Amino acid sequence: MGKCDRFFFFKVNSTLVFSLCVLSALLIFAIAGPYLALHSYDETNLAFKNLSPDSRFWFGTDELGRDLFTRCCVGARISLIVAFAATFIDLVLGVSYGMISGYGSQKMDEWMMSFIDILQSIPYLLIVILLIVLMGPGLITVICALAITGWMNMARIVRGQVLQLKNQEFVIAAEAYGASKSRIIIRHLLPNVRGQIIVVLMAGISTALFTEAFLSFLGLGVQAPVASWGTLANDGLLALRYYPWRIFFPAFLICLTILSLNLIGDGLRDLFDERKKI
Amino acid sequence: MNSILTVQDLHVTFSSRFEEIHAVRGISYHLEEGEWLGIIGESGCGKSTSSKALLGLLADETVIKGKILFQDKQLNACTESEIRQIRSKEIAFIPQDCMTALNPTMKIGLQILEAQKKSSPFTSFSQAEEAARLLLEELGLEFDSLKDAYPHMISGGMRQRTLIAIALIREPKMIIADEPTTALDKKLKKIVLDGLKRRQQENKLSLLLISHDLESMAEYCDRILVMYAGKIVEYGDAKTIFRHPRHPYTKGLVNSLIKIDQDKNKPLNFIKGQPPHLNVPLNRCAFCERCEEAMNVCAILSPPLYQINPLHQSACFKHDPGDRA
Repeated sequence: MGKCDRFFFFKVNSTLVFSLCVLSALLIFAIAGPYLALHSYDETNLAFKNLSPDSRFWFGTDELGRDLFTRCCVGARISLIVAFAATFIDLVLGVSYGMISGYGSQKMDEWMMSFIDILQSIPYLLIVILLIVLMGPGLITVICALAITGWMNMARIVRGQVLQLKNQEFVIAAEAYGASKSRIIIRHLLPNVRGQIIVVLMAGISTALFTEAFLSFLGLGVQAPVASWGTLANDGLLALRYYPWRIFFPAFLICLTILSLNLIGDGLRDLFDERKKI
Repeated sequence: MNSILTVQDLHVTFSSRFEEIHAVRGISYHLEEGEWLGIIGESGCGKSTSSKALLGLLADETVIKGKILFQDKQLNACTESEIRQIRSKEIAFIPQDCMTALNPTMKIGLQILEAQKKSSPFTSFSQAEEAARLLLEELGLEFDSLKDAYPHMISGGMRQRTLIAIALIREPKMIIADEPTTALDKKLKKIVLDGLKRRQQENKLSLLLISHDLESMAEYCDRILVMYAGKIVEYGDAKTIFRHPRHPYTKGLVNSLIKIDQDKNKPLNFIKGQPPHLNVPLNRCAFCERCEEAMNVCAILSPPLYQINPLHQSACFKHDPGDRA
């Protein structure tokens, strides 16, 4: 075992490596794509509307003659930012809230969980519309909306796991040897819920991508001419019958991202699971 | 000798929304420096609960009444940081369940050394490793092959000995051992208990030993405390308890030991019935339904501990001095 072994496992786990490659390709696509493209994302030209993919317009054009390749690149930026923001919020807010709630006293747990219940009982769209009134539509608003609504699932799952773990003998033993609460959380509880956290995180990312698309579709998210994969797919849906490539490319990119993230999640979970490495 | 641990009228009550469970109902005992006190009794009669209560390891909602004195400190009135000091340096605890008592995501070596680091933070890493190597060797384990293993990779007996090593490496004044030898075979049990015994003689290690293994208790412990339904039913030195038990419950326990020359056609001896559920206060002898020698008084009054001789106490009305006269 040891460091050497972890690298060995990394080599063997080809799906993890493959999906990491796919994700980095997507990142490069998002960062460098607009510089490679021949057209800017908001350049309209009605003469070239609804063209199929060719050497000039690699992914075709939309109904205003805008280059779909560039728009997908710009959309990738928005979508990936949303995905990573959602992960980050889930990780920081959800995990710490769940840990504190599960490991704290019973009274505190009850209060903290009631707070989540109340928050979840408020219709989600209501919160988002309220936010938009306050902040105006845009990417920041979408991220704030995800921040407010997205972490509760994670908090519940982490809390459940911690409740189960904290009565296990090894946590009690650590207490019996004078370990402090923060040390128990970091050294004993966190490594044991790592697997579940990763799985929930990856599921959360796909939800976040679709939520962003849905909000943008309602006109509450990013505003035209800026686009995300979600809005592009929605636009494409209207023209599905005659110009199917307009939905194919953004939808394919969404699928590819979610698939690679899920595979990365599985791979990381296995990588950290000591039991799978005998 | 002066006593290292004094417990006075300890009550432990678990309360849930629906009922209160009086797991420990007023026990008092003391442990001298360098003495071994064994606690025996059936499952669920408050042995583990009372020992965990000493270190404050029970859930926050548990109500603990009474006085727990370690040397001069009252443990159940300490602040969080004071009790952590005591837990990390003075009293070690060997947990009961060796299958779950090690963190599954940490290497064995680290789990042993972490304990050492906490108790004496100034020793260097190599010194700590050397101490761990010597200690594990004494327990029949090899530190170098074990240090990079995760708990699921080693056997139950090895895990149990790891737990004992974690307790011993910090050289505590007192150990609370909750069934420390259940997963060990006879030979290893002897090695472990002899190792502890040596520390008793050299460093005056005091031990609170909880076990169902009456044979080794009889051999190693100085005094024995018999618990039933959260109370002490008999308390005395080990020889007297095992050779001349006075309380009917202790008699039952000693009788249920299996002898090798026992007639194979005869059923094994055991105490019939179940211990009472402890959700209501008991105003009678808790053992009276199962007791073959029960009298009328046993069903209406709870017997106090009667002094049979200076070293021997029993909670049975049969030992009431007025009755004997």
